[in-house]
Amino acid sequence: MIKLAEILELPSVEETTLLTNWDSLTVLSAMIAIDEANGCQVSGQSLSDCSTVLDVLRLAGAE
Amino acid sequence: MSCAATANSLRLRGVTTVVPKGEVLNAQIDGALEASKVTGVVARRWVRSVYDQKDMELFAAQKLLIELGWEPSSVTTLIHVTQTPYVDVPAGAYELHDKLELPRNCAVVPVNWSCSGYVMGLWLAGQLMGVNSSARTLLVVGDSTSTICDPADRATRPLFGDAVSATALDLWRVPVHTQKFTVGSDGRGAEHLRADLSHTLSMNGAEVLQFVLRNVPHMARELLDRPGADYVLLHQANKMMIDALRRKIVADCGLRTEQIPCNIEKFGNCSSASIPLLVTSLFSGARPRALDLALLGFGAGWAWAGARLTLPQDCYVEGFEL
Repeated sequence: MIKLAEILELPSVEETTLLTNWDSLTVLSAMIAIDEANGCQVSGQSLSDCSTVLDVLRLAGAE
Repeated sequence: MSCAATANSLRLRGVTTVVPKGEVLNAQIDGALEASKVTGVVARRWVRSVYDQKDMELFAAQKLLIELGWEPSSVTTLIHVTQTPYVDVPAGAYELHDKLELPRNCAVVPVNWSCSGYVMGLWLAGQLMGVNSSARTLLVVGDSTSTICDPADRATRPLFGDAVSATALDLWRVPVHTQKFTVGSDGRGAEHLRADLSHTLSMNGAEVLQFVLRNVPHMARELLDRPGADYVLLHQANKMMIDALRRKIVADCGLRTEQIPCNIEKFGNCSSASIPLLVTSLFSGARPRALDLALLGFGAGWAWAGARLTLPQDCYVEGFEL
């Protein structure tokens, strides 16, 4: 969550936080963060399809 | 596929690189400053009207032959790796063969590889030279990728730089464990980084990143299973990717960050020439001893190749501008 907040350049995030500034840079950063935290590689497309922080957390846990 | 070398192994005799004179800065390219958050590129070199890729390749190869005192007639194989050929038929490698005055019994091997091309070329040279102890190979790699980038494409245009390299190779006998190659391919990635017949490059950055995260750390672990590497030289893809790979290699293989150098800020992503450009940036001039290097190339295809080999103390290493 802290890492996601950094990536999104927000002071903090909650599961319901909307990914309003979800662009190519943040998607690439999130791919690396998930790989480093969970050791799994998620696709850029599946991340681009996320609309909330919870979607990202689910994706990171699911793949 | 992995293949450990036998008694005869590749010897690096010389490495030259050539980049065009004059930096192209971010301020001169639309979107480059914003893109630099990912790319890390501050400046790059692009071929201009005076000297083109062919001129640079010729200069790199001629300079190498002269410095090594190699007669052109002694070269038995010319491997030419590029994704930006300057002629369709016959391959540009034949023009190089002619201009360099290489002999009629010299095999010419033109290959279309991109960012994996330098290490793939080293691997191929080893395969072709086999056990022929008198064999001498010139490996020329280089691209003018700026010429196939859409000027309006903010993903590719600011990222790529132009550069070429020539490497002189022969064989020497070294302990089997000191040299190792690993190569791999996955054609399912072909659509994500390609230039179609209109010669315009397209790239899906997220797909490239996913491919790299899946394959390159594994390749690094395979090459670094033996301790003692002085440096790991990564293809300079983009800064965000290089930093991620650095963190993984440091954590997995026990190296220090400074053993995995980066020069993308000065030259951009120079495709197959990026690794030799690191070599000439770091190791030109006199060196106190031989260096144990791990080279990791990866890119379009998907294709990836790694090499663990020695940079001999007496290997001629120099970079030039043209």
